[in-house]
Amino acid sequence: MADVLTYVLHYEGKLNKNSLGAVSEGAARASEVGGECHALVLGGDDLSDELCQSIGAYGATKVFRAKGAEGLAQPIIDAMAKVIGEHGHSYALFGGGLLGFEIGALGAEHLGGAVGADRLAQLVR
Amino acid sequence: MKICVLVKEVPDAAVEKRIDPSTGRLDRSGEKNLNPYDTHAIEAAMQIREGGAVEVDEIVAVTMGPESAVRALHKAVSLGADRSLHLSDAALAGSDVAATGYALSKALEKEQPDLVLLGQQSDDGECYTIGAVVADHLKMPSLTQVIQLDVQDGGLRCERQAEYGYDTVQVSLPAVISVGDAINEPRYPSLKAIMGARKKPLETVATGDVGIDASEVGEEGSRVQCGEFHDPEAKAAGQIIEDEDTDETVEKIVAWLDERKLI
Repeated sequence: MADVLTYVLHYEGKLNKNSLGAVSEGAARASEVGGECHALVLGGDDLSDELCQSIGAYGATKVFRAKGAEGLAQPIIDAMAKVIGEHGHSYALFGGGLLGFEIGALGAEHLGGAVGADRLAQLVR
Repeated sequence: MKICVLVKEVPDAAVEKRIDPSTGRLDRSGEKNLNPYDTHAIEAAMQIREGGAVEVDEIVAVTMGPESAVRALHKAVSLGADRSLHLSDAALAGSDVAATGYALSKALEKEQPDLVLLGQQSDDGECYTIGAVVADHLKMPSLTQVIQLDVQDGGLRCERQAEYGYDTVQVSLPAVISVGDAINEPRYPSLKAIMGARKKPLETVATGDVGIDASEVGEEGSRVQCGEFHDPEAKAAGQIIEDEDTDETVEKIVAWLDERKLI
């Protein structure tokens, strides 16, 4: 499946701009290879339906909402691994920033993928 | 406690960075130095030792690189490491982040450290990612951008820079911690330490010595293949408005902003 999974960071009821950039980029690249862009968010009760649905405006066709501690890489990787395992995404895309580097690298290694940081453009093959 | 500090030899900051088109790798010719970000990791190890909250038996500097990387290890030892481990093998050339992390983790397995420290990034590749890859291989918790590190309750109490401020996180040992450059001010090595560095134990190992699967490293074993390279697009020259008549200058600036729908 040529779908792309992105992780969207949020804080105090707002979505992170870098993450939303990754969603837009993921949607653009997924459409090139006939796939969809999905997004994963992780947090607590602050993850309202409205907030999650708003990610659709940036190109995500499906949003996975997981409960867990925000701010650490491992819970995010665990959630992403489960989603990817069940849905078979081929690519994962992360917004830049401090947590993005950590999650991206840990996730790539954990899932047996390649890792690239500071990409200006992502080429999906 | 045994601390391993990952260090790297990088082109000197004064050397212009460029990709060698024939190899697709960073041109690492010219003057080289110890990655400045790694000096903060060595200093962090020294401060743990000197802090006295835990007894540090040994600080080991570990690197992967060609023969010349020995100089980075000497520098690391002059800054306080007790000895060094040099992973060097032609088979490792061209390794990407994942392959490098794998190779380093195998070298670290040999050392069985309680704590692995490294700088937040290398001054050449600037990937910020190697610590997390190493940690995943070693099955250790990993934390990046740590700017304060205290030994507490049998683990580490770390303050880290996050997207929206600072997090305080308790980490159990063994762990892999990448430190930010705000964590400390690295000390200068003394002349005595510089002179004595070459006499400290330095072990050189090849891939086979630490159980590295050669098919998982080097250019062939890397998951990332470099494609084409080109310079960034040149920026158009800016427009300079000389302030000869202030009213006219303001009009010109307002017109410039208006044209671009910025006001």
